[in-house]
Amino acid sequence: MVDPFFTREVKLVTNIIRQLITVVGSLFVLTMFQSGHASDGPGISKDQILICSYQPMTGKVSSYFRMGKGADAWFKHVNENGGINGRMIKFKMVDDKYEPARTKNIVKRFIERDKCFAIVAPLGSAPTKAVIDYIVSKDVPLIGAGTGAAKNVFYKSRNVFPLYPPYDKEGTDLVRFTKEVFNAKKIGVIYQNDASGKTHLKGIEVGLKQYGVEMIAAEGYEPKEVDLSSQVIKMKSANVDALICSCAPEPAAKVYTERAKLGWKAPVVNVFFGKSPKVPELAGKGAVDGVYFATIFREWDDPNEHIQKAKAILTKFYPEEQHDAVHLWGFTGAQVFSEAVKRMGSGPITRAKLLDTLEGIDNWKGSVVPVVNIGEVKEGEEAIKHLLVPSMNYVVYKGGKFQPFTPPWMK
Amino acid sequence: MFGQLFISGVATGALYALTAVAVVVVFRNTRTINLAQGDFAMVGAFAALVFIKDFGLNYYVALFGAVLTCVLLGIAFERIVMRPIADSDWLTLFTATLGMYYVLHGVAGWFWGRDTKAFPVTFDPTPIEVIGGLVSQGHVINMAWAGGIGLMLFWFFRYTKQGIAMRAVTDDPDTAMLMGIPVRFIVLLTWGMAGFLAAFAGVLLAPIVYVAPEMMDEVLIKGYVAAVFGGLYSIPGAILGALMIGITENMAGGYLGSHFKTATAFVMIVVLLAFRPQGLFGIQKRREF
Repeated sequence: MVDPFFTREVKLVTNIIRQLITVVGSLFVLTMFQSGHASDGPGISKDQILICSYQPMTGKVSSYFRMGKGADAWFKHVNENGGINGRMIKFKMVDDKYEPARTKNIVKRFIERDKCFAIVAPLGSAPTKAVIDYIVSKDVPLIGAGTGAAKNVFYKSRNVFPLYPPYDKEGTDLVRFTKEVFNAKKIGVIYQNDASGKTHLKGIEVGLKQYGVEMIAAEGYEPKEVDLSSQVIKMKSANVDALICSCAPEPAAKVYTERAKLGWKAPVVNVFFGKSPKVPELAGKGAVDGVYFATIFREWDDPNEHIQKAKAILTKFYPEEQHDAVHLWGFTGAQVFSEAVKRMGSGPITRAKLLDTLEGIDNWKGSVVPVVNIGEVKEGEEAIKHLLVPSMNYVVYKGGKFQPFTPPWMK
Repeated sequence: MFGQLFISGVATGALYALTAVAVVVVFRNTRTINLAQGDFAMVGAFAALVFIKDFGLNYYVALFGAVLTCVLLGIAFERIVMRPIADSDWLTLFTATLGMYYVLHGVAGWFWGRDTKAFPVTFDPTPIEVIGGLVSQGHVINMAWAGGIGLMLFWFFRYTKQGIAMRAVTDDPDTAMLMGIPVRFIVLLTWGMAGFLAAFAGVLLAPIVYVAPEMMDEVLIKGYVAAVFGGLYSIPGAILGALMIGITENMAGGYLGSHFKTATAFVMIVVLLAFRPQGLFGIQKRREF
């Protein structure tokens, strides 16, 4: 005879198991429903694609958050127009203050907790250097990171799509610039003491041999440094013929303020990531007058339809923003990503498919960059063939605005 | 180069001095290391910027407005946050100022935006030659203000009733209270003074470090180190410490290289504290806490 107490227990346990199966089953069905195709990659649901980006939203280099704003404005525009193939783009930006230790934690959360499909248009050499190994090890695409540091540009992986030419190549070109435009024989360099500045220095050293120029002074600065007077005083005392400033906008403004104060007239060319309206705004127009800047994008007043469209979009979503080249960095990564998603159609979206589609973008003229040609990178090859923007240009700040300048070898 | 590095170092040190003095003033009377001191200054800079740009006021009226804003901020902070926990241990007080630091950072970013803003420079950009080095008129004016405020503080602590009462509270708050000194009012006055000094620091620094929520972070560290250098109780010590940090940094940057710039100033502090733990003008074990 069965113990009635035992029967009750069995019934109770059976009921609990039944309820558990119902709950777990419902959750499973719900999850399936929300994730769209069973074969979709992480971060993809039926109606949304989650992509992520680390940005210096606050901190000493927060003017570079313009990159994030540019990308965000583009994705807002895309979503307002119905998304891509029925899916909205959720662009998640988190503030890393340009502090690599923070970037590491943020990217870990992006990938492991949030399941971001790709990292798109993030900013910074030092932050990217700190996380690129991890991103690639998790097989996550890194598209259009705002850095020309060697580690990103020459990374041996199909997952990396660098935005612009490497800093070392820019450094070499800037030595040529000092030689052929300024007729300099002895130069000085002020550089940011991180991956970006050190990569510039490497390229400058190559250029010195190539163009027969001597570097007689090189001084670094920390991004948070309050005062850069000693660096500028040292350059002036060394009596250099010309100065290469591998400086971000805020430090560049401090360098030019000090240069003006000392009445030092040696010509200067600044690397492209310091070309910003913030420089004359912070330093005063007079202090920046006559300074040359490298640049990789067209000016905002260029009549090109894609530039004007980007201008209208940025003005609509960020009306307070003063238009800057850094916004275009963000637009570029965001537009190339959107184009790839569009080309993937409404079927399953995976990271492998994204890489193949990006590599298939050839002679595409639908973005703020004149032409996008993304090459093919095989396993073990460097990511430089994946560059979204391949060439460098120059401007000079004169009469209160940046004006195009063509060096002799580009004429 | 020596003259230029020296005078630029003095100019930079003068910028740290006001923050260092404010750290000392608050510490002496409240046993609190005020981490929000830099952010009081940041609020002062933003307030002045708003007065100049949005209300079209002139520099000096804006400076007065910033002083008023920061004094009220200091007083409100004392009444709302610090007074209820005044009898707590130093770690609690320290944590409260850390909280205020983050609150002000957040509020400023939300209210005025995160990007760096230019402060309208109203000084003649032509530099002046001082002991063989060129210094901007802005820096000269800053040094003059800092010197003037130093003298004013000297007069205040030496000759005014409130200043003498403050010194009495510094020496022994319990005895001061028994002598009829309104200790609570003196503490309130201390925080008001912290706001006053912060407003000047913020407005004077704004054209040089530019205006942003984190504009004072680095300056606060240097100001705090200068205060420790001087012994945490001594106002002249804090000023001297600030000037020495500014000069040492610049000399090291100029002669040893920029990599040694900040490190050398901190090495100097470590060496000093190793031989004289109470700082340059401090009194050893002034008070247990």
